[in-house]
Amino acid sequence: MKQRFTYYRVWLLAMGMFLCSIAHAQNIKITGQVTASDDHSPLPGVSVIVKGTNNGTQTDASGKFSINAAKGDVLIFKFLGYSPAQVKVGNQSVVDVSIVPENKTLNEVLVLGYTTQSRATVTSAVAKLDQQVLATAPRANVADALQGTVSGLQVISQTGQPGASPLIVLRGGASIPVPGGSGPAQPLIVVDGVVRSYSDIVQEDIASVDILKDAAATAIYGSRASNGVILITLKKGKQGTGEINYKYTEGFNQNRQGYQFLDAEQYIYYGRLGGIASGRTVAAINQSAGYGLSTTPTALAEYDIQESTPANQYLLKQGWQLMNDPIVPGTQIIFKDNEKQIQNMVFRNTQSQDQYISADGGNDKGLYYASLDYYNEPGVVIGGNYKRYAGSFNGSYKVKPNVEVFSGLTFSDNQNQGDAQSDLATFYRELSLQPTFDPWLNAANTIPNPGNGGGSLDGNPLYYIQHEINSDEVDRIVANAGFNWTIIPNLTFKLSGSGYYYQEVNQQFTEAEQTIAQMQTTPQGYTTTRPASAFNDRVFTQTYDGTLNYLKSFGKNNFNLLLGAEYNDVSSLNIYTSGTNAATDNINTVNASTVFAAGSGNGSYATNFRIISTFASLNYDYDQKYLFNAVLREDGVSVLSPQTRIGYFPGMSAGWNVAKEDFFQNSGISKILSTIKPRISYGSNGNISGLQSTSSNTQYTYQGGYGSTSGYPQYNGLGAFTNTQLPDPNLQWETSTTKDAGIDLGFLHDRISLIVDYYDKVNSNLLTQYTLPATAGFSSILTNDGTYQNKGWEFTLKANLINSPNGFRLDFGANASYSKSKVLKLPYNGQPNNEVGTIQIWNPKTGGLMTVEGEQQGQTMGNVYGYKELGIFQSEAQIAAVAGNRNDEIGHVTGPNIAAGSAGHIVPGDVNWEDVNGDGIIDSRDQVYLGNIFPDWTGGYNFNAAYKGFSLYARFDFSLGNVIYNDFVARSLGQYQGTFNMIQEMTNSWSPTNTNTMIPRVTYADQVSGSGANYTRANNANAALDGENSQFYESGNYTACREITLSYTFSKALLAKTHVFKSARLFVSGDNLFYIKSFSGPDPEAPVTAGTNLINGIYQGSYPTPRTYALGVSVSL
Amino acid sequence: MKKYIIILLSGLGMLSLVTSCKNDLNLAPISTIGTGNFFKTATQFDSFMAGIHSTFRANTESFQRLGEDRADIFGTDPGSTTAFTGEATQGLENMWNQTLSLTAAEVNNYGIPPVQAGNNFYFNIGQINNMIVQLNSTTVVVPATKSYYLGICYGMRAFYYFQLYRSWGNVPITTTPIVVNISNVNQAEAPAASVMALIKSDIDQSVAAFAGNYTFMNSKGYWSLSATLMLKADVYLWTSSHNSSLADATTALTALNTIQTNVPTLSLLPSYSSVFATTNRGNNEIIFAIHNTLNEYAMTWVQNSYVPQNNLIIAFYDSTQNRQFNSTTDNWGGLLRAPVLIKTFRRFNPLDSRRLATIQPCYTKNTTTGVYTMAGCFVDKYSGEQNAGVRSITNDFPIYRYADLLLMKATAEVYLGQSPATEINLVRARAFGANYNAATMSYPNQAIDANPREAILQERFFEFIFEGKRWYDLRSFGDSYVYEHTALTAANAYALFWPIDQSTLINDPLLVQTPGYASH
Repeated sequence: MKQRFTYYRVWLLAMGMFLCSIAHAQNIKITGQVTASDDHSPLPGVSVIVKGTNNGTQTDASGKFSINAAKGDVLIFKFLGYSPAQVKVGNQSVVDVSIVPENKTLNEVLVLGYTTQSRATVTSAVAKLDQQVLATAPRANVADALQGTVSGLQVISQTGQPGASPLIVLRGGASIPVPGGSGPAQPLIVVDGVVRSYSDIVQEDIASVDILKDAAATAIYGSRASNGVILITLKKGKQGTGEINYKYTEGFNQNRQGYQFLDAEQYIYYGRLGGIASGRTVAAINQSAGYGLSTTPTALAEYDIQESTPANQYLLKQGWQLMNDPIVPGTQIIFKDNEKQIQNMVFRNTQSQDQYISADGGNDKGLYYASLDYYNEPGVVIGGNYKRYAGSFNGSYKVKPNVEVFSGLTFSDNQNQGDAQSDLATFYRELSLQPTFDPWLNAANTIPNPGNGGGSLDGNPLYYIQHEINSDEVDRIVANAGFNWTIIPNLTFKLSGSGYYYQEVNQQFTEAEQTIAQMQTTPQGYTTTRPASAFNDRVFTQTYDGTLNYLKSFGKNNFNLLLGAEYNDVSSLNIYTSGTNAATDNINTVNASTVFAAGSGNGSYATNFRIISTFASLNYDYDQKYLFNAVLREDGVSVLSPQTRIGYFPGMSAGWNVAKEDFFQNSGISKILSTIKPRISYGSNGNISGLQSTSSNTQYTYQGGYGSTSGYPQYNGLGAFTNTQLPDPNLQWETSTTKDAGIDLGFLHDRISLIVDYYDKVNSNLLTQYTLPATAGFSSILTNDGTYQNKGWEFTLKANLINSPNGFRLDFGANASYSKSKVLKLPYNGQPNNEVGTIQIWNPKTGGLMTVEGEQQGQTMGNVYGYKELGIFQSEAQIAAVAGNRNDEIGHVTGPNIAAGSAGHIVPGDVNWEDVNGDGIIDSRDQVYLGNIFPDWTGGYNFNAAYKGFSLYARFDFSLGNVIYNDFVARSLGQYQGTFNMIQEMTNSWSPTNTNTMIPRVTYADQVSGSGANYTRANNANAALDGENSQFYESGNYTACREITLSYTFSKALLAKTHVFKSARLFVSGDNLFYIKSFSGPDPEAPVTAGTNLINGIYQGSYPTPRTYALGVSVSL
Repeated sequence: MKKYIIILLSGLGMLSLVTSCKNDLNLAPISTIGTGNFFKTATQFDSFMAGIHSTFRANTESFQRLGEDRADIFGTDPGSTTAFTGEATQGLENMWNQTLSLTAAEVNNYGIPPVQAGNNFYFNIGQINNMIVQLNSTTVVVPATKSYYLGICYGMRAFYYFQLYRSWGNVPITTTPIVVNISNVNQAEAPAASVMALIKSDIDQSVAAFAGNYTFMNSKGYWSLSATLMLKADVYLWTSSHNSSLADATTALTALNTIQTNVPTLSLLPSYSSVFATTNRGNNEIIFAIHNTLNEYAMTWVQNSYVPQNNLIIAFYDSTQNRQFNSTTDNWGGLLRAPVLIKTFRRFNPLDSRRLATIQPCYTKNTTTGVYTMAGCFVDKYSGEQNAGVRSITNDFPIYRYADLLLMKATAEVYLGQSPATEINLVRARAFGANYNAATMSYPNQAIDANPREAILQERFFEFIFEGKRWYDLRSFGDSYVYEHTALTAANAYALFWPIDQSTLINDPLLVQTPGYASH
């Protein structure tokens, strides 16, 4: 290790020598004025910087500036909303500049980590978020703004819970998406130099969001960058007069309509009929919850259903209804329809509020920016609420002409109640509650009915919300400070340090609870365990970095050299306690508990993680025509063994500004094609995020470990330890190598711009959980044996369609990304293609077996296979003709010519499965390809029309190419819980009188032996993606209308008369307005396993993003 | 020139800043102990021994499933595919219906019930192997403890392999600590005969290591020399029966006599139900029991499959107490997927105290006539403790107890042509208590006693329901007893063994499916 360092040091030394050889020139004083090109008005607050230095100033109120620069220096003029301009200093001392309002993507300033650069000279794949996206729609989580707005990023909204993070996948992700594992690591988020989460960042504080995509761009972030880097730059103060901004937004949130359920009469009809169809006795059916006719006091208290007798006819006057019992002719059932009650209770319309105030200003010595924000959004599902208070301050001051100090502080506090239960519980189980369930205990409908004790799932949710008290609070504080020291002109040293303090405090308490059955006993029974828990999770991140930047030009040769070093330390401490058996409901904290079990509930847990790095980058251009960039980073990390912990990550890229060539400018093409810049890049970076979590189990993998026996650290009161983890000193870096070729094109003076990238990214040495054989005892071990390849195309188009002299302007923007991934290598396991978890199905093309599902080399992940439903058997004659000798080994049913299976014979209403290999047996080999769960095309498009003060902005995104297994529909129609409600589609199930359908006959608990497994074939307690009924695989294609905003900006002339306002804007917007989709559920976005970042392709009912209408005003004084 | 020096120095300054702190990358785990630092103190050995037992405890459900659930105890009663409460059997029926298969193995991966996360038998075998190696090389453990611990390790390892032997026949053998070498990690089955040889040799090593130390540790919650001798008898009775070896029967008998001689405190408790009471752990009848405790570990698996839901059971009655079940007293908090067959309950003599101590019958009541009709039953042998309105199944799970010693002894005696009367009658007398009438109930006065093997099997049936024994008992006595008493037929003799589940087969290509079962 030492030796490798020495080589590196020599390299840097050589670089230092190179720096020394560069001569230096004399400064002169430059003055001038900046005006706007459209109306020639002087522009105050324009920043003027000598390129490649921190030497800068700002224009005064009359647009004038003065700055020291050397001949040959390049002055950069930057102003928000305008394209930056560059002027090279020659012999003149006066530089007047007219800058152009921004409508050009090709000249925008890109933030590249430790530097910034104009897109004109950037040669790697970098995207920038259009500021318009952040302008209006209120957002609890700013990452939602990335959805459909940036090419190469796939952003999936996982849940509509306010504040929840979406799933972000860059270029197909840098790890193999193994089902049941975890998905790709999220991109590295760097906010003003600090690595942190984007959660709780106030969108109004953001000046820009830049996304580094290829390895040439991300290599500067080395080992953490293989999933891309998102750089968020916060607003800074501007020189000139101070300004106060205020923005207020009020949002009105609505739940998106989901599936409709059967009403009570339909439910009773199909529930009772299904029991008969599955061979249940009438007595057994009558014992069933919901549609049974049990007369126990509990059943009578819980369900509004009884056998009709003369004695209960009075109920008809209380809203009950009568129906004929479909299974016992001659009897009638009296019931009450409570179907809509639970839905109406679970969903609500809410109002969210965002208030933001900021102040900024500065002079030639100091700049400051300060803001405060309050955001509150109650979820459209009861229980959830996201509330945030945030503030920020940053400032800088020139203590000496060549030394500038800066510091900043942001804090946020979010109180996120979260939902009372998981999305699955709410959207599947709770909405499926029996429509005969009476949610109230009293006639006035004020005392909620807890139900039968399946927990909060099976009763009135209000009961549990009242009795289960929980809170969650996250504080984030980021403080940083540092200085810029211009040692000699063009040589700047920057040193900064930051601390990021994250703390989560979570408390939960459950009061004494009762079930409806416990209420029926004398005396009444209670569950008084009163579990109480609390945890405090603290993560403290310290980062110190120093960079040395040297800028030099020889003639037309421009160099920009950067040397840097960084020290990053993350330490976490989680303290948790939980107790039970408190004596009272009146104390919600854990101190009142009397029993504290050893084990996972009580303790503390600490981890520590460190990265130490050095890096260097070189930017070179010749007359801005020939562009070259090289980057090298060295990272050492604590989570790998000393033999493997140092990693080197190089990147390089080159480009050619063809349009700047004389021959091109002289040719006629330049009138049409105004920019043409082909570029190529190559680089590699690493990833250790799989080892970086705050769980000790992964952090210290290379050392192995002995610890408390999982969950139960005691045996007869003795402390119990086991070997919890096998050591693996051979673990190495994951590396991603990306080749990228792209072109930036501008047409008609760049009124239309198009950026195209093609990439080929090979992620190798992947940390892969290698599944161990049974004899190893441990189920798997982490190895570096996977290789995963992503290839794809990215397009970003921006066009100004109309720019009429009367002030009407119409712009169009679009982006699209295509990605295709393949497994190239898996750990050797002696199997063909090192396959894991595969099955064999019949391949009709070859007439042999083929291996599918699971993982295997050469295969695309996410392919789905299941049983093809050809139709529904209509009659015994058809069964005898088509499937007389059939043995359905999945449903355990057989054709009439052979002995009955354990679930009997096939009957009319059962599914006619495709017997792919024609052997008369329906088994796992008869599955067919049904699609892939990963979208291949994603992107978005937007329109912006402006006339005078009015502007209309509309933004859409889309996702194409994936299938979703609709487990929700399959379970609901298959009556998976036996007695729960079913969705309206049940009324279209097969019956002798409803034959033109693909929905099989109604059965009781489809997965139970005797029901034939028509709906859920791979029936087990956990939803399975593969091996189900083909009818329930639906297309995931959609396009969504994310935003339509109408805004009006008051004219400056009008505002000038007020002598108060500098600017004012009113807007109204609709967000997440609608999906155009073929998926039958409310939310077509690819389903993600909660907490894993993994697209699983299984829809089980999810919390759709609410539809929001917002009204807002923003003014500045 | 000065400028060049400045530039050079600043570059070098940057470098020295970083290289100096590279040693800071050596971080050790804080909340666990790294592999290099464990087995350094005697207390670490002690905690590891507790860990082996804690891990053993987590296998209880598998011991129950493998040892008993395929026998003639559990099942849905004729005419229904669900439990009498309406609960679905959710795959458990494959055990008593003898329809285990590649995709429905019901015990996966050599020791994990489906849907349950946990460790398989080889995990703990690996821990034990590790412990043996560490004990043999350490100097920090005092010799007496070292040999006692080695006795436990070999004894428990033999117990695991005996489970594997009886359930799968040919199984892989590992006797060294787990070291993963990914290129060579797969392992084929060893022939059953080699597994048996290992079991017998481990038993001998265990006995030798214990060196005559008959003390019990941890209220009989730790493996002991007596447990090893019980296992020895169990193993030798099996081989005696399968190989018609009188010598093996003698070995078994000797092992059992040795326990009786050296541990005179062992005896039958007067009351059958008190053997399992949570207030009576480690009692005189217990030889080795898996230890459970409130707030430490409860047998949640009992509630996952064997006892009813609160709100379903309240529709039924207990005719013996003439009362309807209610959710406060009968808060089993379970899911009744494996009910007890009504005929199982009816096989007991109503005077036998083991009947109601083991099985809870449930009735429907005709509200007009007051007539009770049997609806079904479930096991209530482990009724746990009430804790703040919630029932927690915290009974110890006996692996070996004195009644087992007596009945194994009776078995050996029958195999050797001797009279098993003394031992059987001790068990029967305790079971019937005050109702015991030697003239009609004692051996050989019951009708079944005409066939001593059937008599012992039946006595073991009554005595050990829900202790993971019945299927193994039938298997031990001989295959014909399995066909006689269970749904398995001689035509499907292959299914005497369990299938290897699909993913286990895929994860180790060297494994060969149990003959007779589909392998893909």
